[in-house]
Amino acid sequence: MASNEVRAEDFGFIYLDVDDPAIAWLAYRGLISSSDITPANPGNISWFSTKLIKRGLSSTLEREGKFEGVRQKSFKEKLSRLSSLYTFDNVETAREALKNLGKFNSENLVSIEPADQDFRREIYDMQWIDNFDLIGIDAAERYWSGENYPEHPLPEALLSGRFWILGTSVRKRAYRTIQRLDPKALAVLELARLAAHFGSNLGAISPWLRKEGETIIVSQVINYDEKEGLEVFQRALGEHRKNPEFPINWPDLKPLKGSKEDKNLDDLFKVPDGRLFEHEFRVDKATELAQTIQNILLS
Amino acid sequence: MTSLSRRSFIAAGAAGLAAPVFAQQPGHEQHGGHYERLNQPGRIGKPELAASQNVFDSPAAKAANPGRWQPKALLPLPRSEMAWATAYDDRMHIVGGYGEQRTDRAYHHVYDPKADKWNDGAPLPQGANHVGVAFLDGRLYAIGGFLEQNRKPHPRCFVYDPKTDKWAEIAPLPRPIGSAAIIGLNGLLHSIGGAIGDTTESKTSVNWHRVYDPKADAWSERAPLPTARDHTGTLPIGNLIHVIGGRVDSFHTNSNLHHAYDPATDKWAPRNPLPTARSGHGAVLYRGKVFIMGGEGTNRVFGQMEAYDPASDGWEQYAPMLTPRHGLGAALVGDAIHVAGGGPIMGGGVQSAVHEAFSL
Repeated sequence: MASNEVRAEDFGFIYLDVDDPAIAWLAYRGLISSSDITPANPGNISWFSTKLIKRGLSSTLEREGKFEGVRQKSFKEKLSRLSSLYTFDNVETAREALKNLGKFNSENLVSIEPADQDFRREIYDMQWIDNFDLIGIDAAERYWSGENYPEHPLPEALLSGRFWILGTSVRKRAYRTIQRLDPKALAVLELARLAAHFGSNLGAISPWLRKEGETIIVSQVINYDEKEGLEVFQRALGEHRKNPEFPINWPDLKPLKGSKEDKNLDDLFKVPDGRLFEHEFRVDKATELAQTIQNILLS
Repeated sequence: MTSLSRRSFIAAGAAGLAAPVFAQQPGHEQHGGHYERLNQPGRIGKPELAASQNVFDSPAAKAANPGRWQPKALLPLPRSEMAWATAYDDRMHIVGGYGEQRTDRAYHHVYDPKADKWNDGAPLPQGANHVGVAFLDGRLYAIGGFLEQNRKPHPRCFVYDPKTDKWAEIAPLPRPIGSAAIIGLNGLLHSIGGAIGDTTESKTSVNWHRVYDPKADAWSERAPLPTARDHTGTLPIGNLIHVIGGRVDSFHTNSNLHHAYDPATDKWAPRNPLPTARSGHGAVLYRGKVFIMGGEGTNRVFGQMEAYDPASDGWEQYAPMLTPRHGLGAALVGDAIHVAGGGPIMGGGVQSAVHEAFSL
């Protein structure tokens, strides 16, 4: 059952698999960003590509590599599928994609809206991708040209920028995921949520690939600085003093109150164990998948 | 063991007459009406669509000795979506699946390699498809399965004694499941992954890992599979359980992930992934290596035979299947991998009686 918090008039829609701890973290924090706007760093990758890698969907990732190859060759000005957000601009299409593709959970559909004015949105027809195996590389040309598929077009929206995640039911489930996996991280998670509210990048999480020998690791990095964390905490206290209704999850922040000397700093500022978020994999060097990943690591 | 049915006898006899060794190129399958549609009675030849869906290319390095396939006695009737087979005492058992225009068959066919013949075993008490099967301490366990086409799982579990040819019901699964991988190891039965959902739209892979203790007739939980999937290739190697490939919700999203589980520590670890991501494939340990054959993807039926060497954590490709299929029964019988039944085209629309064996 899709959340009734999703409204047709909302700006856009995205599926967030909040059983995944990294997605749960960003969902509760309340802000999602495309990886093309994160600081320049070889290996930046989109959340959608991260999901494909984590699930071992190598054929799908190889197909994404072919679409990226056509984009780089003939449509360089377009957003890359490997770094943008995979969303929908129409709630009915989002639900239809669920029905056709069977790879999204209807409970995970949420509304989003731009956090900044300088976002980009490009609409393409996902049917070209689904029918790539039958059509061949011409499907990629027609996709990037913005052509509608002849039979029953299904538009998808690639987004670049930062976007607020609306609604509370998915975020409640996201919270429970982190609570279950790493309850000591909840204080920093609450700081991360407050930081997003204040426009700070503290606690933002982003995916990237790195290589260790023959092993490729998809990681998610949480931006955290203890000093900045304290500043966000102090600012939240100030907001609360001015306005007691200012929403703060006090039980989670409780470990940060009181005398620091009495507490273990590692416990106070517990960022989740990175191993919860990491996924190691290897690819055969001769495959197109290896080429795709190499392109990401070198871009 | 019950006596041979008339149909079993005729089918096995016909295969015995037509048993030349075919050339070792893909596509040279056994001929004749060895296929049947799910929605229409009557034997048919191999569907033309299979030619465009069969794929054989593997990115893995070629093995020095590619091995060879040989046709064997046809199954008594075309079947598919059994998901797995299991073997014990030099007999391969294939249980449940699609056939004769139904998706909840209780068939139980037993292959005798010395006679190259199929016998009828006592039928499964609850007909279903994608029934998880494994031998543990000389007894065959059949766990869960789908009552409808790849959906609507049930929780019932049964144990079969080959000496008496009888089934008995055991403690049901805590929750219904279909296409779960079942492994017997060190006195316990592991049920790993699988799928739930009463409709095609709601069908979802799960990461559940439950263990059945025959002494207590009870199920308990173990560390879940790191990535939820079903239709996997799963088997024990030494004291570890390897889960290879499978699908995440749908065969449109096949996975190449490969994990190994250590029951001693209750922990999973990643292993070198399957070169060709697929689901509905067979996985058989043969001469120290795991051979993966068949499987299904979007407009694809895989013929690749890829083998994993646990010692080197590496993969090689071997001679591809003569007749690519998915939802097949595969097991080691004697010194050969036997692969029987399965669908020759994407989906469950056509069943096959084809039976081929691979040896090095």
